[in-house]
Amino acid sequence: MKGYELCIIFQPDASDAVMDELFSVLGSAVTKYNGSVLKTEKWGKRNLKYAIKKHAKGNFCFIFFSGTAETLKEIDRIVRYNEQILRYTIIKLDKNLTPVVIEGATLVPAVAEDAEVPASPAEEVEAAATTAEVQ
Amino acid sequence: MIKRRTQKKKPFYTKRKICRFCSDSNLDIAYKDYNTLRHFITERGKIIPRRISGTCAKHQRELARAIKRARVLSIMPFAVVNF
Repeated sequence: MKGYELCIIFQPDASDAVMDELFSVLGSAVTKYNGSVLKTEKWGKRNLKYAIKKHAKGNFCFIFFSGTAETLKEIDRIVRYNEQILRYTIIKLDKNLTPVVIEGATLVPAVAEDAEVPASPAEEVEAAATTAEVQ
Repeated sequence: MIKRRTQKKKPFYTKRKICRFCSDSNLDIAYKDYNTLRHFITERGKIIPRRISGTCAKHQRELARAIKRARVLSIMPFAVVNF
């Protein structure tokens, strides 16, 4: 069982209901293969650095989960043909990349490294806003 | 007769650059962290070589990986056309 991170960019006008629905579908796919969802993150709407499918903004979401190759296939199948999604990637977790540490077969969120996580999304947006004001 | 140059070429010293990630262990390389990565690309969006930025080989590899990941997710630009 390995840890993975799924990053999804939704269309800017995708509603919360649509996102939550997809999250629950993904969650059940993960648990189907004995994995577990460790953490979800929502950044909200953000400017894209280049347009994807003619959208200048995107709704960023991140899901951390544990799973096997089958889980990834299943998730790929779910996510690939969803029209609400502009782009997605699955990244294998590493101690340096994320606040998750592998302990035996189960993945447990680390407490010590939690502080190193780039501040929670809301805070980050605020920080960005304040720096923009300063400039 | 050809004049012999007696004066030797002066050695050229530059200040040794230090890897930012080695000197500061709190600094993490994460593909989501635009504000850190942005120091390591040019205005055009290219990755700055370590010969110029001074990052060590290990961290440069991590940086390049992070920047490329961020590019896919549109967190960083592939190329900046009008600046």
